[in-house]
Amino acid sequence: MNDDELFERLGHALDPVVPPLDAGRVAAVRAAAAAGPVGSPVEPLRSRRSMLRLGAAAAAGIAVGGTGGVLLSNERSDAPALEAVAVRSASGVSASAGLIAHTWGLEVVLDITGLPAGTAYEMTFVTTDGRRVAAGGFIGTGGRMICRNNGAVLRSDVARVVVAGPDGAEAVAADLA
Amino acid sequence: MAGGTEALPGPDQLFERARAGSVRAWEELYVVARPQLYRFARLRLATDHQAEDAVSETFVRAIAAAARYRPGPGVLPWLVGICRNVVREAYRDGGRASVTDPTVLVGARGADAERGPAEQLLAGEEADALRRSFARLPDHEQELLALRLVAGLDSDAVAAIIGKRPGAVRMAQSRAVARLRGYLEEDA
Repeated sequence: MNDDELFERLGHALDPVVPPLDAGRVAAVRAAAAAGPVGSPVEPLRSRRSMLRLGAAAAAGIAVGGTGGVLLSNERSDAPALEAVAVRSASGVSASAGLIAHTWGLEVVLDITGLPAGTAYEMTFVTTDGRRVAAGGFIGTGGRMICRNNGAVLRSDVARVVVAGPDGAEAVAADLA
Repeated sequence: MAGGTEALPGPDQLFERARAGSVRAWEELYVVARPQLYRFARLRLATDHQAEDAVSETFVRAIAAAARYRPGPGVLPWLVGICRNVVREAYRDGGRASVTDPTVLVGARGADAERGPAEQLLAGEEADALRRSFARLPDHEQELLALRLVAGLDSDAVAAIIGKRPGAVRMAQSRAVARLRGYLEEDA
């Protein structure tokens, strides 16, 4: 086994499972960004720790008040909420996804690795009443891809998001609450 | 535009937008960078929660430091560098409750339905041996390899993070690999 092979196998062996995005932590980043830099000479460390606690509290589903409440109410208008969603991936595929509910439809931010190069995939939204709505397609690269897909259906009407290959096999699926 | 696909900008583009004041760009940068940062932090810290906290803290610090960012190897190595500092502070604070148990690090790629049972068993045994040997490496060598293997950084980026020359990083990684091979042979 040469060094490159050893590196590859070690990387494979060590690769920790990345949990699905947590909506609370995404919201904490959003709140921290909306509040702006906190690295001013005034209480920089305390400010940072407050942000981190905000993230941990939000991640745990705990209601936050005080500083956290102020930060969350100080969001900027260009920041639609990114809703984290748990996804299931086929063997060899790794993916995470977030949803953005627009007034005109649903947007999916998909971070996916492992789709075979040259293979075309289609994203479909399955609505709560069983309709299938196209949400765009992309071609696998064999590496990491970060895509933004849109479909003409409202978030509240979408029950499932599916990415399927030409044979119909699902590469990624997410059941929405 | 419904029914379409748009590639998300790369991390450096997102960072430029974020620095210009876009909250959404920060959010998207978090989505894009989190897997790399989490993998690195999880390998260096004892629990999933500590790793998630480290990634959150990394972003809080990045937001605070964005105005001082200077272009170099790129924003991802910059974020990994911040994450590395967060992890090291966690060590100093005693936040690393115990050495990471290698058996909990069986990755998403560990199970492969396309392999037969015998192949999976052999691959699993090999992965266990690699994890055991990795855990025996000195801490600084574990970190060096983690920056390359788990955070996905090349020698130039690792050198920028740890403040050494790329050649020195490559030599240090080679020494770590040689030591790893020795442990693997002992384990065989």
